[in-house]
Amino acid sequence: MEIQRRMVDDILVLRPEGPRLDASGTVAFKERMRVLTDVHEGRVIVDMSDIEFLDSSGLGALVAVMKMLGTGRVLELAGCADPVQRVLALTRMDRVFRIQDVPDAPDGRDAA
Amino acid sequence: MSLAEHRAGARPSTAPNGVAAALLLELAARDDDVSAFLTALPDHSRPHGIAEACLSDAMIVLGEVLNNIVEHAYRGRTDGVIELSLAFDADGISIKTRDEGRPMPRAVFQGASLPDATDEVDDLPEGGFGLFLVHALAQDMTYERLNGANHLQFRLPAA
Repeated sequence: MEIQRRMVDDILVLRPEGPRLDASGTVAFKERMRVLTDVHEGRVIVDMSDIEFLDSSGLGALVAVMKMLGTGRVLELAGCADPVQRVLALTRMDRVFRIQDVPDAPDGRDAA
Repeated sequence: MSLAEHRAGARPSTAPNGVAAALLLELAARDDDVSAFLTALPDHSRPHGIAEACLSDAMIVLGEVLNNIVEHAYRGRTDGVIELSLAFDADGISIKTRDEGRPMPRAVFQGASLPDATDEVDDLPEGGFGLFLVHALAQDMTYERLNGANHLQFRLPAA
């Protein structure tokens, strides 16, 4: 799947194109995310605005990405739709990731 | 995806509330086909008047069930077919699946707890969430192995 990359100040924001983050796309997703996060030392936010649906495989892939970041770094998820929030809340993984709003562009415009 | 919609009307003995409508569907047991199917299914289901939250939960459970069939029942095969029916009524959604893959281990359908929580990032589980989601949301789940086929049935309550 395509993952758009942008920087907002020194935050790396990655936006997978969706509409689903599920079993059919997790291998490619993890590999792409590994490449994109490899050289970045600061905050990483996954902009979930285009993801309509997250299944358990997609959830596992997000966990794998957080492990890629390494000890002490949390993976942040922004723009989560209701069905995505539902899965995160049911599995209590909303306590593991940092869930928040999509960050604005540096000049104050919405980055969406 | 082949989509055949039936208006079943009221069924006298087994469904006191009547069955408003049913979808009988068939799809290939491959990840991409399941993904495309689940993307399209809500639009076909919404006209039956099911609350969005119930439909959303049904998609979560159905996603996990279909993935299970692809990854376990039909492991190693690309020619598998999954049949399913969805029945919509006042109490929610009743779903049945049928596949001709390997028998499902019964333990899979007997309940599941969350993978162990941990503060260590390296120890975070990447699997085990699927069965938990199924058992957290689905009710009256039954499994039968009949004539070389797996039959699974479950409900998503309306409220």
